[in-house]
Amino acid sequence: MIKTDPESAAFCQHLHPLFHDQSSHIRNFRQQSLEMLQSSPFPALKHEEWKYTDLSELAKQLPVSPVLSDFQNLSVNDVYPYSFNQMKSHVMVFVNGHFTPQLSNINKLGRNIVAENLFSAAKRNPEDIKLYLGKADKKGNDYFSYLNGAFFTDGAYIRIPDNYQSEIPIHLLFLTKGNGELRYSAARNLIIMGKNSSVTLVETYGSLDDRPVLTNSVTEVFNGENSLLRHHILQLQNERSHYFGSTNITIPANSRYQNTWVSLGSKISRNDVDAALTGAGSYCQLYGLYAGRHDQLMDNRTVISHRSPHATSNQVYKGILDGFSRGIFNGKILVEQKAQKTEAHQLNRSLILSDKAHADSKPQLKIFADDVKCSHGATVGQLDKNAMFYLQSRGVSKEIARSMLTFAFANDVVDSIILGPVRFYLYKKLFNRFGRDWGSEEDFESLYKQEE
Amino acid sequence: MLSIRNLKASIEGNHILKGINLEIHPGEVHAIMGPNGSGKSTLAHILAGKEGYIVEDGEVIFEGKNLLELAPEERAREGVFLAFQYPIEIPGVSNTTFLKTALNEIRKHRGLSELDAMDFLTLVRKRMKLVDMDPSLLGRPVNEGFSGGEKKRNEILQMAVLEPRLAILDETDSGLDIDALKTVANGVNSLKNKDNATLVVTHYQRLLDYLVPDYVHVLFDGRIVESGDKTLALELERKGYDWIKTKAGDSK
Repeated sequence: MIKTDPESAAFCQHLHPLFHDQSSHIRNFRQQSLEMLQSSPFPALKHEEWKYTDLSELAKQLPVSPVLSDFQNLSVNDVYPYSFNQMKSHVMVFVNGHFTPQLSNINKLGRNIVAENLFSAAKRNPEDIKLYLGKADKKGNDYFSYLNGAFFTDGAYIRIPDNYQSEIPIHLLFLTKGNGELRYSAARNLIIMGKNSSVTLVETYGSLDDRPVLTNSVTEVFNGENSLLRHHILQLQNERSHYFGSTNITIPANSRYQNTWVSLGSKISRNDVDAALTGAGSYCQLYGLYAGRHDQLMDNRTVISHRSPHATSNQVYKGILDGFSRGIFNGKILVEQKAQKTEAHQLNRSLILSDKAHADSKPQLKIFADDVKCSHGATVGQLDKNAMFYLQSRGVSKEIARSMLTFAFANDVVDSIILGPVRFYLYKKLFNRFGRDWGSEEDFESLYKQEE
Repeated sequence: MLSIRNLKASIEGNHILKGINLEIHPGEVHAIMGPNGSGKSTLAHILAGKEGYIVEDGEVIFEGKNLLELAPEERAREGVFLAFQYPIEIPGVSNTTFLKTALNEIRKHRGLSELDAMDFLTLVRKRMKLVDMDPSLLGRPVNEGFSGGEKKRNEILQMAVLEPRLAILDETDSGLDIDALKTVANGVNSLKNKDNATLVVTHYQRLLDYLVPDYVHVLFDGRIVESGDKTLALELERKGYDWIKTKAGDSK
């Protein structure tokens, strides 16, 4: 008999799987997730992994699964703001976790690539679902992973064949549409890379209106041997919504995984990244930027597990906290005993722009091997005094100097994004946030267009 | 234009400047030379308004204003410019944006209209030729990934665009090969006129071959211990700083 947590059970009382026409693998997976969910306590400050993020207000609300009318009457114009100026890409659009083919554009993908919604894939290719669903997501104790597993309403299934190299990115766009209730938007994504392939994947979380939505996504990534996956994730939801997303990655021999996480939106957001380096010569790069203002809370929890010798990881997470906002970095690097010759570097830097903003940093190294090169560090502080003096000595006021340097602080993470239109979109967002005092937006655009 | 009178300053309890006196008039080029640790860079930083120094005595009058009471940006707008020994990198802010912002702040202060993007680019391209700077550096983030020589040229470009009354060059020759040195010196020379002045802070004489000073001052242990014309620089080059040290010791 499973012991049920009452708060946990209450929270999901209005959730249900959206469609019933599902494969047996998905049904089984839901059932397992539901059982785990019911025995898991709702996250609270007393839990080590949630000690900085207070969800007691959220716990009083009851999320409601989406309904069909959420997705109807949407046009390409609604999605345009998230098209990165119509960047050339293969786009799959999900609204409240539901695939909307009329807004998507995946017809021109190569013949061997599969990009479809998870429910179709489960019908067409049940063996893959059985093999991969839930298999990269091994954390085992995360409430929101189970919640997603029990109630996800679809997701993307991307299968990249061996030897596939493409310059054209795949864009997974997850949009929310609210109504009077707290909508629940949950996608479950599987990304499976073949050998010797190279792809750029963009995952964007945005809002179609300013109503609150609870987004709860899980993406599982299986990188292929000798492959490169660039994975850019942008969290741009309105500031009344919640975001609980996790990305789980396995990185086999000689494969490279480069993740850039940029968080600007949501009232409360939690970014969970769990990367496992499982083969020699593998590389994991996690770059992150979380820029909070008003009363936003941005919680980042990352785990990089070195399970194989001769693997490298490099992490740089940066927080910019203004207003009453709060930023959290809780990053763990785990080096198993067999993972000799590991090289692992981790850095968290936070910039505090107001007296009321707050940053927590908890970098952790757990090393069980003896022949490794590891470093970690955290700084919380103000802008560099020498740089301030440099700008002021040219006649620039203190306020403008501060905003220029804040913009600069953010930009080296943004620069790790390989796609020009996405970078430009983020520059503009950040410029509007931190750069209002110097020059007009037109100036800014013409200057950056020169660079493109 | 600039009067420094009995300036004494310390940082973190260490007395660095122990009574500096210096008069600079429009149209003049002054060089301050001295061994490492003599206080040369401190003097340059204090004139530009860097935080962290405590002025214990004396005053600095620039164009009739008490310079030490002004914030760094106010000094810049009044016409003081410091070319940094180690220019700072600013990722994500392009050279153009930075320089245009700075110029317009200064123009506003001087009661001039702000330049728009087109006029600014015309001006800056013209000035770039003075320092023989690669135009592609304009769109790049300030100093990021620039070579040592490019950074120094960029300092002189900023000077050429901002047109200060008093330019202070802090060890601008360090890290430059002879060609870059000539280019930088020629750039500074071409900006000279009867209304502005230059203060060159340097350890070595070689920059002064191309940027010829009217006066040379030797700074040692926080005081100017010797002043002369350009031949003093040559004498220092020949004899080193030891004789100055001996002389300063004797006079104590």
